This record gives sequence, structure tokens and C-alpha cells, in this order.
Amino acid sequence: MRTPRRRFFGALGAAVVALLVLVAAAPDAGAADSHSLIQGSGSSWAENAVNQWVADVASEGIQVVYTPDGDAQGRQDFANRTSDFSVTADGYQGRDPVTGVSDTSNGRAYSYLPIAAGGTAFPYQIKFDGQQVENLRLSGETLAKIFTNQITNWNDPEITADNNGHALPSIPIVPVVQSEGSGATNQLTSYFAQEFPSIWKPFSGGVGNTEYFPRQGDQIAQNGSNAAMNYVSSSSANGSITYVEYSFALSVNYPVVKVLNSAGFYTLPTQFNVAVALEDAQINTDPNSPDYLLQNLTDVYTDPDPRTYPLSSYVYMIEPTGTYPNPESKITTAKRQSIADFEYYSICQGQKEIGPIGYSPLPVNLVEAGFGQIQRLQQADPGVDLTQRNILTCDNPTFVPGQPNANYLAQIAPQPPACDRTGTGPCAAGVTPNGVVVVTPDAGAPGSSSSAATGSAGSAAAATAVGGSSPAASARIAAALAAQSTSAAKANAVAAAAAAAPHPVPATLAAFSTSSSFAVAAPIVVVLLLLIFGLPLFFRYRRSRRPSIEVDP
Amino acid sequence: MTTVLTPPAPVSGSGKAPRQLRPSREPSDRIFHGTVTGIGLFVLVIIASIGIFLGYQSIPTFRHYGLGFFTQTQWLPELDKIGIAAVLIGTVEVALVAMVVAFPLALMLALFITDYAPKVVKGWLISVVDLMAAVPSIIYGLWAVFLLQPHAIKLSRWLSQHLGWIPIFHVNTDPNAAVWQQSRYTSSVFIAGLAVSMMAIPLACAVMRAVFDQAPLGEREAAMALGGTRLGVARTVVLPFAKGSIIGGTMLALGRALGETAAVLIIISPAYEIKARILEAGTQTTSALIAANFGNATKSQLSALLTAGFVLFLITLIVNSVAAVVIRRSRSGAGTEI
Amino acid sequence: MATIQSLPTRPAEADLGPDDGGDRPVAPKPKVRKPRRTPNFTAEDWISLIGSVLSSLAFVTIVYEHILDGSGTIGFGLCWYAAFLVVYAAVVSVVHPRPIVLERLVASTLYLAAALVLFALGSTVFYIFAQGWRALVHVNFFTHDMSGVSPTAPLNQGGILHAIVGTVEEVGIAVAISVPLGIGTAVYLTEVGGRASSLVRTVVEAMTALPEILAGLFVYVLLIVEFGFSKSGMAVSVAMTITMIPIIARAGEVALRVVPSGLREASTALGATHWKTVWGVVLPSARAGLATATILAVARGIGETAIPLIVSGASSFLTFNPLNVPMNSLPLFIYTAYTTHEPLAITRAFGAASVLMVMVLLLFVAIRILVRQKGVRR
Repeated sequence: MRTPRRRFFGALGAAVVALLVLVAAAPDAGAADSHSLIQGSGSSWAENAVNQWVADVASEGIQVVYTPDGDAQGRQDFANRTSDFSVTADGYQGRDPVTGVSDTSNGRAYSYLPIAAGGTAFPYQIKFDGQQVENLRLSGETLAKIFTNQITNWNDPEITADNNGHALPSIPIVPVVQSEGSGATNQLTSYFAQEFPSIWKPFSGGVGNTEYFPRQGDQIAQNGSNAAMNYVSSSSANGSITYVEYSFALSVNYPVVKVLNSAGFYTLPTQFNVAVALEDAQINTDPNSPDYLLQNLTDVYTDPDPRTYPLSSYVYMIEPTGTYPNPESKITTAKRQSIADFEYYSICQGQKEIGPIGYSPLPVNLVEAGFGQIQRLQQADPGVDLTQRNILTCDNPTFVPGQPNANYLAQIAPQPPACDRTGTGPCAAGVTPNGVVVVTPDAGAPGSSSSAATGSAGSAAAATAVGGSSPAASARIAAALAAQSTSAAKANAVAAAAAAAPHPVPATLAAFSTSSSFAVAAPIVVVLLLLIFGLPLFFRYRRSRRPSIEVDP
Repeated sequence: MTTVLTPPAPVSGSGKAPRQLRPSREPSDRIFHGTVTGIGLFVLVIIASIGIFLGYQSIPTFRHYGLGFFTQTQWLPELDKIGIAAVLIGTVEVALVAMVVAFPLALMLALFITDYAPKVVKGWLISVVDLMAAVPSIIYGLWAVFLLQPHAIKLSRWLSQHLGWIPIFHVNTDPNAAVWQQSRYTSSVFIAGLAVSMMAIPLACAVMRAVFDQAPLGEREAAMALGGTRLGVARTVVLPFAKGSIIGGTMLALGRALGETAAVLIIISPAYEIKARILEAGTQTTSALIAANFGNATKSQLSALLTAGFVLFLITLIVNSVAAVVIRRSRSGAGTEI
Repeated sequence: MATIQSLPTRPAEADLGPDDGGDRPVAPKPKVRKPRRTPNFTAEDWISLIGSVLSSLAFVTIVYEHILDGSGTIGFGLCWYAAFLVVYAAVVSVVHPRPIVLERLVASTLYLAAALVLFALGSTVFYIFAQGWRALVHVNFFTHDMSGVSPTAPLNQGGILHAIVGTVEEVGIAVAISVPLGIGTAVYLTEVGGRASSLVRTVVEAMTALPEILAGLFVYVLLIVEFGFSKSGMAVSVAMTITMIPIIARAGEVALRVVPSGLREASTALGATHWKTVWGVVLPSARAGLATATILAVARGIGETAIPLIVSGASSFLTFNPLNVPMNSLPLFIYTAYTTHEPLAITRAFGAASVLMVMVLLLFVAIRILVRQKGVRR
């Protein structure tokens, strides 16, 4: 019986089906041209740098989805072929002879390329009498004892000794660790296992470095660097301390611990100090080794340069280098192109942005090696277009013309002030990581980009104020730093522009207008048809229902 | 003269049993029956195979980890030292806290709706309770973290101050300090239980209310005629009538509380240890464990996660089945649809 | 013979026409007396209630703050409640006998419990909207996705269009799959029956107990890891149907069983085949119940967070393709925005939560309309 009601619902159903078919057939927003959306997961240590690059390349039509769920998960996702690339600090470990756990790529061909350097910082919250401590210094041994529950209160004599006799009040320490398989945990435990095994090994049950912190006692676990940083900076977490990459603390302008290095100075993980430290990193230079370009940080921990920050490290991207379609049937040429272009941006133009936000740019030799790794994508699939890759356009602040192994940032790194030496100081309270007097967090923190920009200028001031050996040298350093700060300011401007400027055409409407106008027009037409034909039927149906015979339930 | 009706002479034949009459099915009916039966069996196969798949995962798990899987408290994938002892205890603790909070509130709310609420708001209240059941759990999680937690930790501190001699209320910090350590009370079983109770209350309340409404009117009126107050009517007629459904509804809500993921995931901070101190920070539940670790799990660890989930599913299933049996056997349960 | 005194003459029926001057005497209107109200709760009861509330509040304010160490609002509330019970019991027992005292105490407790639960729910809804409105006032929140926008970007950039589209599409596909299967199963259980039906019923009832995260993990292990499907919206829909089918089947079975058998028999008596009976009589009669079952399942599916967390990536790009690319959805967007712990991202999360709440509210309004149309009381 074709009653008006049936006709109305029939029309409705037909319209819904038509709509579904049309949207299913509509091409992806942004899937046009030669790029395809790529998915990656892995390190939350590198998250801020990767997110910066992801936002930058989105305007060029490269769609990247990055999930910072931990190094271990990133490598596992890559091995399960559920991600297209991954970011990790440690490579695949192979099969552990003791536990039998295997950490491999399950047969998937891969290469590593370094994408950023940075320092693992220790943000902390110590508040008393309405003030927040901002100039805490700790030695590695003290840190090891804190994170193994041997030191449980901030008034411990060892902490007092580190701070040259300045004692803190009695506040219980709350160590905050990361609960997922984290690269930051790996950095920390490698440092402890290498330098203080007698403190670390009994706590961890004989295990050396690990990505899963063996949380015990009053330690609080949080999932990821964001959560750990948020926990430490929350109002109810007085006495807490955690370990995250420096950018997390810098972005909320939170104080971090100055860590003692082998030269007897307490340093901060600025891009300069990290660059100095990583000059001692040993990089695997055998192109035929599966661990090509991976790092050995043993000498970094004991680097005798006074400017070194001991917990500095590189982070890597794992790219798929299998061929298409066999065995990498899901990695199409478009995906490979996206991966190649994303990697090229990351290690080239992207490097100048990450210094001010708390990482350290790569030196030239590693960038060139990275280019070679990107080349492997083209070897796997000749359809990948790698033209226009010129290392001179990278504008990387570490480049020294004519010296591929030198790191300019390491050369111009300012010496630490005298008050940071063991047995003196500590340096005045209220001095932020970058040498600028900070506004206390309660009064509202200035934005990260502006503080970083002033930070560079401030470190220039600090260098000229305290560190310079001779007026000429300090002038040269100041000039270099000024140049650095302008490029940093340029980087900030780029970053700020990328983050703050509205897109000329909003991403979605652009997608609609370029390739999917059909997908926009069709649903509108269907809806209009529905309204035109459906409304009268609907009203007729309602009128016909007036004298209704109710069925008794 | 009356005629005598004589039965007709038997038809010449062999005196066999009566002929079976088969209704002849229309072709459309045959297709209809076949299709519908096919759909039913298809759904049965899919669902049963899911259950079988989950259960089957326990074989590689026990082969790899042995029965130590149930006694190991740590979860260290890198060392392959994993076990669900602490996780199961945490799940049960969170669910129990949720039920201790939800049961009286749901019971009182159901009684209020049926007996005490003014007639004009009764329908509206029923809809509101159903709406409460439909609110996604992540929203309750956000509410608990941002709005509830700052106030609830003060209650936790009060409880540990005055009742800290009871082991479950003890917290490993000094609650009497001038500046008390707030971080030790956050992210605890208690806070997670409160959030989960928000999801358990409407479920239990809906079941109880539906049954309270069905309490026989004659008995109610008899109680009132004998001079009973509303409380008397409730105490003597409604509650005994609905006893089975009260228990059943509570156990249904318990089943839901056991499997809750999103709210628990954002409230708790993971701690793999068996502890009864519900006010203290740090715990882990099965669903939060799965959500946190599914990505970094190797093949055997994935089986272990599936087994942990299967154990959870079995517990929920048993709870739900007991609830169904209790309801069906009770006086009120004959027509109840849970 | 005495004559019955004639009855007083009644004036003729008043003319219902227009007033003609009023020269005919009209009987006075009978005085309408309103029935006397006999409230259960007299004014005296109100006074004793309010007085008890205020006096216990005053008492606790003094004692709590100054004698015990006050620990927050909740502790204060508990002490106030305890004091109120004592004071109110004393006040009421002066006038009323013991059963009434108990009744009053229990009544006040019930009112408080209901108020507490409603307050909790109301605070949830209100808090979500209060935290999220800052994001909701921007039009770009509903028309853009988050491509190229970092979590710290201000609120006039980026939006949740991709999450809204993702939720609608995932739930739509899940409904498209699970409604025919669920209603088909319900029809099988009620109409066709048979030996296997009790087994099917048991299994379907058992599967309502399946936690959603297990459905997600099942799809992840089987489809994504073993068979190599991509993390996509389709995987989310498949996992959602696993959780939705048992709900639709069970509630649908109940709805179909409630249809009076007289209708079925009448249809058969008129010569309809079983198929025509079901399609033309039973299903339309149970329409409201089936729609309610569907909407209940949809309400469950919309709010599931754990499933998209496991089987789909949190993409920031708008896509209509459910097959090969990760698809964001509202609960997943809320979760991932929250985990960045950036204040602006959290505001966006609350805005998305508000949108989700509005969707759930609309679903429930739809249930109410459907139910009221057919006059079926739940």
C-alpha cells in the first residue's frame, strides 16, 4: 500500500542511501596530487618537534598523523605494519637472550635516520612560603638516588650539598615516572645504569637500561611526557620531579634541574649545551649494518667540556624501505613520496625551528647521512621524486661552511657562569634556563616563542656578562649569538606564522573546492530534493493520521 | 422415532494411524524463514566465535607464562614479566567502591521516583535517569578529573585522618601535616570508583524503578489502609516484592562497572601492586591495562591481554547470569526485561 | 384533603440570548466553593523542616570550622546532614508519633539522595558546557578540521568537523549493519523459534556483557594485526556492531513479544503468509519499541571511547573514506585532546564533549517523541 507515510519514508530511505553512496565515492579530502596520508607513532620525547613539522607540512598538502604513544609502541606498530613510519630513540633490540623477548621489525625492511637532538630535563615543583624554587642543582648520583627511592625528602643532606649548603625545607619527594614504553625512560635508565650501577641495579632487579620504568613505592606513573609534565606543574603536586624532554618544561616555562657534568659544572639542556655534549656521541658509520646511524652515548655522559649537559641524545625516525608492491603492499608510491618529503623537511628546513622550542638541531654530517637514507626510499620505488634536495637551502644553524663535522652551536656555546661550579653558588634565584629573569608562574607565564626569543638574546647578555674570556671573544660570541638569535627569531617568526596565521583557504573548504566539488554539491542537491518532495508528503501524512485508530496494547 | 446415528463404516484400508498434516509453506514463507534463521545463526556464529577466539587465546598465554600469569603483579613487557594479579584486584576494588556508592543512591532514587516524587515530575525524572545512562563515559571522566577530584581529595584526606586506622583508608603520608601532600590522594581507586558509580547508578535505578512500579496496587492500598506511612508501604510491600530485582539490578550495574574503560583511563595513574588502600594514588584495572598496552605488546603479550580481557568478560558474564537468575526467580521478575 | 402547597415557582429558564435589559429576575448564581485543600505537608511541617535545615547549618558552621578541622565542602555537607537528621527528628517527634518521625527522616533522605544524583548529573552537563562554550562560539569549530593546527593554536583556528563527520559516519555504518542483523535475530527468536533459538538467546544475552574494549581488541588482533586491514573507520564500525547487535536483538525481542498475538492471528486468518504478517503487522506495531532499541544501541555506540582508541588513529584530517585512512571521532578527539594537557586543547575537548552531549540529548528527545506517538509507556 503506497500510503503517503510509506512514500515519505521511502523517499527518506532512498535519500539516505544516495547520500551514503555519494560520500563513499567521494575522493579523500587532500588525496589529490602525488601525496597520501601517512601514519606514524612512537616517541613522546620527540613529540613537540614532530608536531611542529606535521603542522608545517600540512600547508604543503602532506598529511601526517602522528601518535606519540611511546617508543616501544612505535616500533611495535611499525613491525605490525599498522604504521608507515615510527620515531624512536633506541633501535630494534633484536632478541634478548635472557628474557627471550624479541624486539624486531618482523621482517619489514627499514632504515634509521636521525631527526633531532635534545636533552632529557628534570622539571620539578618545590613551593614553600608562597614561592617556587627555580635554581635547583643536582648531581647525577643524587638524581639516581631520588629515582630509586633512596632519597625521599627535599631536605636530604645530599641535596643540600649539591646546592652548596643551601637547604630546602622538609617536603616529601614525589618522583613521577612514565608508565608506557618510553624513550625518555630509556635515556634516564641508560645514564643510571652506566654511571651509577651500584645505585640503579639493585632497584631495577639487575636490569640495565629499560623503556619501562620499574615503578615502586610512592612513585607516581603517568602515561607519556605530556601527562608527566602536567602532573608536575599541577597545583597539587608540590615536591614532585620528573624526566621529560626539555621542550615540555620550556613550553610552560617551568624550572628544570641543573645537572652536574664531569667538569664540575651544573648545566641546563639548552641547544648549545646539548650540541657540545653530542660531539662525543659515537654514531654507527657502517652503511651495511642494520644499526647504521644509531648512537652510543657512553662518552657523552663523561664529556669533560664544562658546557656539557650529560643527558643529551638523538632521536630517530624509522622509515620503511621495502619495495612495492611486494612486500610493502600498503606503502604506495604516494605514501613513499609523503614520507620522503616529510623527512626531507624535518631534517632540513625543520631543523632551524626546533632549537628555540627546546631541542637541538642536527649537525651537517648527520643531515647528509639522513639524505642518504631518504635516498633508499627511491631505491625501493623509482616513482619517488627526490629532485631539489639541496643541503645548502636548509638554513641549519649548526652548519659551518667547509667543515661538515663541525657544529656551529657547539662552537659558540657560552661557558657556564662561575656560580654554576661545584662548591660555589648556586646562581641567583629567579634565573630561568635561558638566563632571563622569569615572571613567577602564578603571575602568568609569557608565551614560549617570546621567551625563547628573549632567551637567545638573554643568553647573549649572559655570555657577555659572565662567561667571555676576552672582550674581543665575547664580542664575537655576542655577534654570533645575535645572528643566532635573529635566525632563531626568524625561526620563531616562521613557527609563529605557521601556528598563528590563518590559512589563506581553510583546509576543508580547499579540499572541497579543488577535488571534491562533486562531493559537496551532491549532498546539497540530495537534501534539497528531499525537502522539496518530502515536505508535502510529510504534511499529507500528518494530516491523514488525524483520525487515528489506536491499537490497544 | 429417533434415528440412531451409526458411525459410518470404516473406509476400506489397513486402519493406519491418522495422516500427518504438514502445513505447506508458501515459497515466500520458506525464503523468509530461511533468511531469518540464517541471520540468527549467522549472528550466533559470529558472536560465539568471538567468545571462542578470546577463550582460545588463553592456550598460548598459559603455554608461555604458565599459571604465574595469575600471581604475577608486575607488568614489564620488556622483561616479559607480566601478570594480572594486581590488575584484577584493582578492577574489583574500583567496581566495589562504585557499587558501595551507587547501590544506596540508586535504591533511594528509585524509591523516590516511584513513591515520593510529585506526579508531574515523575516522567521527567525517568527520562533524566535514562539520559544519565546514555552520557558517554569519557564525559564523566572529564568531570571527575576537573570538577570532582579537587573536592574529593579533601574528603579522602578527612577519611584518612579520622579513619586511617582501618587499613583500606590508610594513606602513606601524613594527613595531619600543615601542608598536606595532595598528590598522594589524587588518581586513586576512590576517585575512579566515584566516576564509575555515576554510570552504575542509572542502570541499577532503571531496573529497580521498573519493578517498584509493578508492586501490586492492592497490597499497597492494604498497607495504607492499615495506617502505614509511605515508608511503611515501601518497607512492607515494595521492597520485599522487589528484593530480587534490587539484587539483580545491582549486579547488572556491577557488571557494567567492571568493564568501564574511558573514565578510569584518564583518572588513575598506573601502579602494578596489590594494595587495599583505596584512597591512595595508583592502581590499574583490566580495561585500562589493555588500552595502555595493546600497542607495545608482542604476539604472546597480545594473547596475554586478550586472556586478561577474557577473564574480565567471564567475571562480568557470571555476574550478569547470576543477576538474571536472581531476577527471574524472584517474585517480581516474571515480566521484567533487564 | 389537604393540598400540597405548591412548590415555589421556578422562574423560567433564562434566555440564553443577549441581555434584554435584565427586567426578568434571575436566580442568584450558586456560590462555588472550592474544595478545601488537605495537604500532607502542612505549613507547620514546612516551618519545622526549614527551621531544622537552618539550625543544623548554623550549628555545623560553628562546630565544623572551629572545633573539628574542616576538611572541604564534602565533609561539611556530611556533618550538616547528620546534624539535620538529629535536629529534624527531635523537632518532628515533639508533635508527631514515631512512625511519622521515621517517615519524615526517610523522606528527607530520599529527597536529598535524588537531589544529590540530579546535582551530580546537572553539574556534569553544566560543567561541560561551561568549559566548552569558549570553543563553541567560533564558527570554525564546526567547519574546520585540525589539519595544520597545533594543539596550542588559539581557538579561532581548527575545529572538530572531522570528528563530527567521523562519529556520524562510523555510527551510521554500524547502524546499517547491526540493525538488520539485530532485528533479524529478534524476529528469528520470536517468530520462528526452534531448537536453536534458546541457544541463540543465551549467547546473545551473554554478549551484552562484553566490555567494549574487548570488542575493540578483538578487531585489532584479528583484522588489523592478523589480516592486515588498516586502522580505519570501518574497523571502528565493525567493533561497534559487535557491541550493538546484542542490545538491538534483546530489546527488539522484547518489543516484538509485546505485540499482541491477536494481531498476528487476525492477519493469518485473513490469509496472509507469515512473511507478510511479520512485515506488515508485527514490525510496524513494534515500531516504537524497535526504534527505542536502535536508539539505545546508538547512544551506546556514540559514546564508546576505547574502541576508536584501539582500532583507529586520531587523525586530524577530514575524510569521508571509512576504509584505508584513520578516522577521528568525537570521543577519541576528546581523549587525545585531553592527553595533550594544553589548556586550549582541553577547551576544545570540552567543546567536543558539548557537541557529543547535544547529540545524545537529541537521540533521547527522539526516543521520547517516538514513544509518545504510539502511546506505549516504558
